[in-house]
Amino acid sequence: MKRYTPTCIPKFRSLRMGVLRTKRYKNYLITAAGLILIIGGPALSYIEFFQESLKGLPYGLIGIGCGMFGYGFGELYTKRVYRKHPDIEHQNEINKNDERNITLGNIAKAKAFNIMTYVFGAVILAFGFMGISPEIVLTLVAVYLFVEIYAVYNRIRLEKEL
Amino acid sequence: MKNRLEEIRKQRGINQEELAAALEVSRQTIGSLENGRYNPSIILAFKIARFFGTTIEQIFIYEEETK
Repeated sequence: MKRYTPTCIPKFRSLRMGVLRTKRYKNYLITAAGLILIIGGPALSYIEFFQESLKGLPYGLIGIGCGMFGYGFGELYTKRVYRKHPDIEHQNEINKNDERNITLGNIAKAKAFNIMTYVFGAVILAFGFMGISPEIVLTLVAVYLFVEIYAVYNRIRLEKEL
Repeated sequence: MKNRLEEIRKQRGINQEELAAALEVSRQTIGSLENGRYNPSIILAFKIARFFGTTIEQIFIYEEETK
């Protein structure tokens, strides 16, 4: 009896082809979207609505746009280099999957997280003593607790899996 | 962990880059393995032993730490 998987149904087959095509042009889309945000961000500051409220939104969009443009352009340039030099791509794949490099990266991230716990906590305390508005301080505390709880959750999950 | 990786590698006339390419690890990993600064995972240890056609115990020497 034939198993009906999504791709064997014509409607979903064309959807999958669309997704594959999107993946191929993903970096072009990200670069273009970044450029639109960089240009569109300052343009928003001329609109009255954004001049009165959400004053920071145009600058936030510029920041996000720069990040997206940099990432997309970087990926496109890297792919171009890899097309010309497949041996570089192969070596980079090896370095990325090298167990010693992965171990070193994980240890460095763990140490950085430990320091961040103290530094972020100290910054929140300093903000509290400086009289920064309670909404901002409480938001920072909520974010801080979310990160710490996420770390504990992952530890418990890994204890069960491994 | 002490090992005879460098000795066996040189006996076969292979350099670190060639061994790294064969095992699909970086050259720095081979270097760290040889001077005992890094201990391989069990899978990498098996790959190394299989590459040289020998056993893990003949390459890596396990000595219990005495406190």
